[in-house]
Amino acid sequence: MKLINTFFFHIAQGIKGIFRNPIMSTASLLVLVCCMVVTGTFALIIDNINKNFEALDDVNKMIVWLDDAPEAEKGEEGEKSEESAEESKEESEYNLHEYDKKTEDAIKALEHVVDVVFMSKQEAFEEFKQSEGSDAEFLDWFDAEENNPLRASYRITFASDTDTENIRYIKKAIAKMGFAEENIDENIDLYDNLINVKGALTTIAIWLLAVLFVISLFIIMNSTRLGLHSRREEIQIMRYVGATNSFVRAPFVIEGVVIGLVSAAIALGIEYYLYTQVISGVIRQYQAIVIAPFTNYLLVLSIAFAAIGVFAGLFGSVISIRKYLRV
Amino acid sequence: MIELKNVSMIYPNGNAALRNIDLTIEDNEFVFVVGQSGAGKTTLTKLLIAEERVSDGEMYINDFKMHRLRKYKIPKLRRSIGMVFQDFRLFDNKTVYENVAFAMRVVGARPSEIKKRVPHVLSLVGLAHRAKSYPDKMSGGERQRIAIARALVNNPDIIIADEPTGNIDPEMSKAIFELLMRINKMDKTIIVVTHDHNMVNYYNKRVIKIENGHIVSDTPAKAAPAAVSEQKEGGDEQ
Repeated sequence: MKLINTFFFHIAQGIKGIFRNPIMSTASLLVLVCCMVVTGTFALIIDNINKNFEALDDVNKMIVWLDDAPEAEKGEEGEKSEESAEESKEESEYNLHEYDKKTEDAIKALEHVVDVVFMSKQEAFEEFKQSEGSDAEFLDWFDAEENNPLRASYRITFASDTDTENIRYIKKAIAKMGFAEENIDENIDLYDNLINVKGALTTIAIWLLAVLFVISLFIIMNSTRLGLHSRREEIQIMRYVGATNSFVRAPFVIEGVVIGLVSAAIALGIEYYLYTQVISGVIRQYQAIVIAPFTNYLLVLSIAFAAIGVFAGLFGSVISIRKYLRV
Repeated sequence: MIELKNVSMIYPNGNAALRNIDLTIEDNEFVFVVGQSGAGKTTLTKLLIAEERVSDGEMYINDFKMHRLRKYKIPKLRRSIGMVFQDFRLFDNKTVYENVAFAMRVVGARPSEIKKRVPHVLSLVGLAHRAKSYPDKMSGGERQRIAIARALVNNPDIIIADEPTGNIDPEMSKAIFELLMRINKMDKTIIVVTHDHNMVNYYNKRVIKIENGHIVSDTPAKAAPAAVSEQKEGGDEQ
């Protein structure tokens, strides 16, 4: 009961403290809100990039095209074709022109590869026809068996967190099996670009977070210092009647923490507006990009903002108290 | 009991405020501490409430070894001592009741205890009828009585009054001393640091005279008037 009374007394004193220095309290609050909103906005954008990145089907896919078998292998004679057949044999132990279980298993065995699917010329033709829908009339000129212009392929899927280095490694390993590099399609450039954008945004976010956090710490420190100054007589009397150090300090710490928590609540509201009205509005113009609903982030953002606010309030006020309050 | 054995107090700038003090104050005693400004009276009170630490010697207040007192024990020590200041140190934005209750609040007293104890102490100092008044609307004597009530409210063993009548007219001063005498009869040790020779002469109590950091005389209660006359002469010469 005694502890509860003391706790509520401190809370009341802490809140009174906020209104004792309204200008400094408002300044601390505004800088902290900026700090949280900027960090939150960057985090949301980066996460949406990640989500779209994962959603893009062909980003973590590679296609190895199979050339049609040379004429020589089809039974026609000739010096040139004999030579190329010999070359292929020398270069590779794998069948580079048709489906081969050994080839498929060798690709599957590569690190980071999670799936390999063979797509024959006929299947490719059917798939293409379906994807074209009503515009596929021109394909009537072709036939899947006789004069199919498409090529068979291995569709390779690798883990979505595979970095560009490893994608290059997979590509090289497949090329070593005898496939020409120009027959291996991947999206390393897209991958690189997205990673660069993510990296740049993360760097900017971290710097802004650090700078704004330090500024807010200084403002909270000064706010606490002013509070200590304006309450110096009260503190002196508290000391003389036997108040403990923690009793004298608690209202100042609570003041900092309350400023931090109020900032977090305001920042969450602003972030909600920014995300649902501004960011989503801009991104919706690009129909290919999918944007996650704000509710997906509500819990994480609430916890993160509260943590930043509490930490800044606690740290700023404790530094100031240690420096300026002699109990 | 308060006991100082060969206590010296030297400030960091080298100024020796107290030198080789030997002093014993028994429980429930009433003691005047007199001396010129800068003699070391204030330093003595600061040592008693652990605002300063002894540089040398041993000092005991009840169960507290002041020369070895750990920081965390200071609040407990201060709860056993009530301080009264010349400038009252009251909150003008708080009522008389709130000023006194504040002292209980900050040591974690329960609201029910506060409601019971504060009116009792206010009636003891004769201010029960002014509980809802604000100090800045009251006379110096009344303000000092609020300060005494605040010092008394946590039921300390010792009351230290530093120039309690310094800002009060002579008539009111007498009332304040009368109040301190009454509190002394409630089994409290009273230490009054004062320049008020008339009052010291009037009340036949023990008088400790400090000069240049030394105790130059310690006159027991019965012989007090003579000692004070002596001191007055000495003071006038300076």
